[in-house]
Amino acid sequence: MTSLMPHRLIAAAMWAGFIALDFTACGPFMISQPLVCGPLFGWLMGQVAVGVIIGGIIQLLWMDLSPIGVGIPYDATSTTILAIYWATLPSGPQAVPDHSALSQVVLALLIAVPFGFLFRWLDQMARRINTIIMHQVDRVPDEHLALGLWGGIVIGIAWSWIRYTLAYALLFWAGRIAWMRLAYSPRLTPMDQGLTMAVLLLPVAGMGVTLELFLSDDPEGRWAPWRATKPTKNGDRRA
Amino acid sequence: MIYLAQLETFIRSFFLQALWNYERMQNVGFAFSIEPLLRRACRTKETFYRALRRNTDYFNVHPYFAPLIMGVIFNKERELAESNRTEDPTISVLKNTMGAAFGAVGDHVIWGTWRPFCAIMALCVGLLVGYPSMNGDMSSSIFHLPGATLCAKWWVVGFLSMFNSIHLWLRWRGLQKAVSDGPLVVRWVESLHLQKWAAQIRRVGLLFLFFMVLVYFSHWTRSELLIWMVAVFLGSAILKRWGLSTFVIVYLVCGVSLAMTKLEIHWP
Repeated sequence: MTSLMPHRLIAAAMWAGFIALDFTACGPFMISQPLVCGPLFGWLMGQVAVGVIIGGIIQLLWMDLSPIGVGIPYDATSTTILAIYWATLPSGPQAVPDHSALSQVVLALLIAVPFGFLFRWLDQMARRINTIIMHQVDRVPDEHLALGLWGGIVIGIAWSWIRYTLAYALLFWAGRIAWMRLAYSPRLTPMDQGLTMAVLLLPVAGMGVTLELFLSDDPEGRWAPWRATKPTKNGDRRA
Repeated sequence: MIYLAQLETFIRSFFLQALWNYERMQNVGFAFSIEPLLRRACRTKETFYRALRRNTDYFNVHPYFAPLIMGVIFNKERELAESNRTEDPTISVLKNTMGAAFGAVGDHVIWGTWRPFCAIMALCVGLLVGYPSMNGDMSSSIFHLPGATLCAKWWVVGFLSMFNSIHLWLRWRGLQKAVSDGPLVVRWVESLHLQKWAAQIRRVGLLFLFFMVLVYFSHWTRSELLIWMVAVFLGSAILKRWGLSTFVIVYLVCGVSLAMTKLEIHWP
């Protein structure tokens, strides 16, 4: 699956959409955890090693993410999937054997990190649309309500998968163009050693973050709604 | 027959959050999941329609505790259907109260403790099987296909089976107990001593984390590199305690890595 053919992009986006369903649509069985989806998506993209490195680093760094109440945390799954996709693009690292290839894995990770916030915002928007769908289900007469609920759930799952698949497909495509220009730019060559060193240090930072999590008395509190959402002008908290 | 309805509710409960919305949160998922049990509880179509409509009200809980509340509500709905009354305001009060209480328990025990613990366990094992050997031989490490594949298997299978064993047990057993005991199921939950277990698990998790740190650090024997690694480890923990976002920490660490190469400290 390492060719530049569009089917690779479409297949990757569809698989990414399936993994994202674990978030809210079905389960959650924790397939969307970077520790799991990293190696899985890496395997699907033909490079397990890249998936293991990115998944492991992101899992350690964002170990504390929890969907508490109305608060939607940073989307570490999307960061993992985007980073793996870009890092495994053709003419990228084939087996991640040397330093320059590892530096590209870190570069893909650094580019993907801000997109976790974008996906969180997309999730917030999607849940507003869910409210509209819920109102439609609510309007169903009593004698057909059971069927209406079935419809609501099916639409909810389909809508989740479609929006994630489209978002991933768009970002895979747009990111590929940026990646090809950035990853092989001669200007970045002096940074190769530094980025390679980051493969060693990022897990260490993740262990530090995890240490803080285990020492905290209120581990889930950091992602409570009042931390994960912004206050509105009149003072109340809104996601 | 109630067993089949329980099984159906159990399966449907996995879709609890499929239509999560800001207005009534998990309401559609809850009504969808409890529907098979409500069919058993209600004798007439009218009572069933009323019960199902009533359960499309606001609801929010940790998803793993939802089947337990469904079992409790099934009991209350059965009582109501067998009485002469048409409405029971205590049902929605009970649903919301239990939702809030079990939501808090689930967030602390499952998200805050059990999931990080399982992740640390899986990472530890993966690190042991796929880390570069002491003599610097990288060929069997996670940086190459055989080591990475072995590590991936441990992570995926190990983490998922360990985490979901408790997840699925909690869902199924919670539903069973709630269907048989009704609101008294809280005594069963109390008897599990979840908070106490969570505290113990966190201590064990801390031990595994230290073990992982030791294994990770022990392979890099160059003193100047080791000092930097310890500094990054402690620095990240302190910055996180001060409330700094992980997002910022990632870029800070990359900045440190670039600075290290300027100081002629390279990958061993």
